[in-house]
Amino acid sequence: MKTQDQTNPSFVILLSLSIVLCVGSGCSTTETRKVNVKPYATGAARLENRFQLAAALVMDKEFKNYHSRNSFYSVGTMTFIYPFGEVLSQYAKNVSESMFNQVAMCDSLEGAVNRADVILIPKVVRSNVAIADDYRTQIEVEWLVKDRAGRNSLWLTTIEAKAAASGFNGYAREKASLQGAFDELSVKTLKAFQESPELKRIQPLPQ
Amino acid sequence: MLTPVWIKFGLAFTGLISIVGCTTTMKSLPSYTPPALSSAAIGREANGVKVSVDPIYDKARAKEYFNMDALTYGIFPILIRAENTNPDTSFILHKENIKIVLNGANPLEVAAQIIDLRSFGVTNYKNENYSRDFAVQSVIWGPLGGWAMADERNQRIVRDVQERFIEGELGNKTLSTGQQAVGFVYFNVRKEQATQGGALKIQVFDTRNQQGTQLEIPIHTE
Repeated sequence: MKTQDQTNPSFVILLSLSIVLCVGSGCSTTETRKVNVKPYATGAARLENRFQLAAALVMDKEFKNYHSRNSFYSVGTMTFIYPFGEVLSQYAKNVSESMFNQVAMCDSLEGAVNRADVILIPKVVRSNVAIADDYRTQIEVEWLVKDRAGRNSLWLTTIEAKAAASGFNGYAREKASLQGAFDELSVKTLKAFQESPELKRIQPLPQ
Repeated sequence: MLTPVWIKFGLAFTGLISIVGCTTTMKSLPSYTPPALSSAAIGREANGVKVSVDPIYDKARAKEYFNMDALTYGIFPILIRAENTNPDTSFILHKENIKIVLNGANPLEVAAQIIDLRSFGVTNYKNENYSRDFAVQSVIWGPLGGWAMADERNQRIVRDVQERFIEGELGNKTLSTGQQAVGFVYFNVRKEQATQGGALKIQVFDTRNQQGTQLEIPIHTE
């Protein structure tokens, strides 16, 4: 990837003004942004490729309340907080329900033990929303699948999704890049589940 | 009082803004291709798992991969390729099971996940052309404008550097039969310590029985 050397003068003038304002106002701001992302439609995958297994999906507090914290350093620090927890929970639930016959929701690994054939544990590795002349959203989620006792790790993967949007309207760019990244996250996660030979080998326990 | 010319101008301007303002374009981001290991890479094999390591000491290679001389800033990147040639099982590769033992030092774990350069303790990073940019732009835009232009370019470069580090990082994953994983792991090490050489220890776990397979691979400067 090449660094873009060309600089838009109007952007720089705006940046200069914002920096001057920032210097004058104490140099540190924090803002919580609204995350307006629609769930990805996973219907087709649900019908054709799901595993004939029951799964317990573990979403702990950290996952459900995950916030992406993005700071921009110049003369001062501007911090934007994106509360991704709700969107991530919906994503994990959608993916699990698309790929498995039954899904039980659990808050902890202990609570998931012996409740299903496999235990699914999603975890956010990192996320970043970069703002410059375009918006870039990047999110990385790790999925660990354990056996029903929660002792043995059967499968592990890391899914990275990213999207960028450009345009005049900052709000639209932000929304589009967030939506693009979460859509890609769902698509890649479903693909990884579907293509896993380790998961295909797992047999459901007799009832 | 508004003249018809001003009303027309206002309408045209509003129309233009509403058209431009409504256009948001998704930009496609190129998918990352990990670099090839150099001829100096050293490999080991056990239980059908082959691991090769290629420490990045060379400034030119670091600039090529990260657009930054990483080791000067206390970041020691090691390129790893792990491959499962065992036809009977899969292995779990997790970065928390990778360590380096440099000569005369305690084992070091992989650095914390990178969010930005501050994750490594790199603050106020300035690209090598920053002073020249500031000087040139100051002539055109004045001192404040010159500083803003140079700073804005530096921000872009910092973002590029961060993206390269993040994209290149080895992901935790399952190595199914025939699969391989290639990526960098990063350690917080001072340059003089890194160049002393040592060994990288990596342990992967068999998904059938959770038994670990450990490999120890020497690392040293070319």
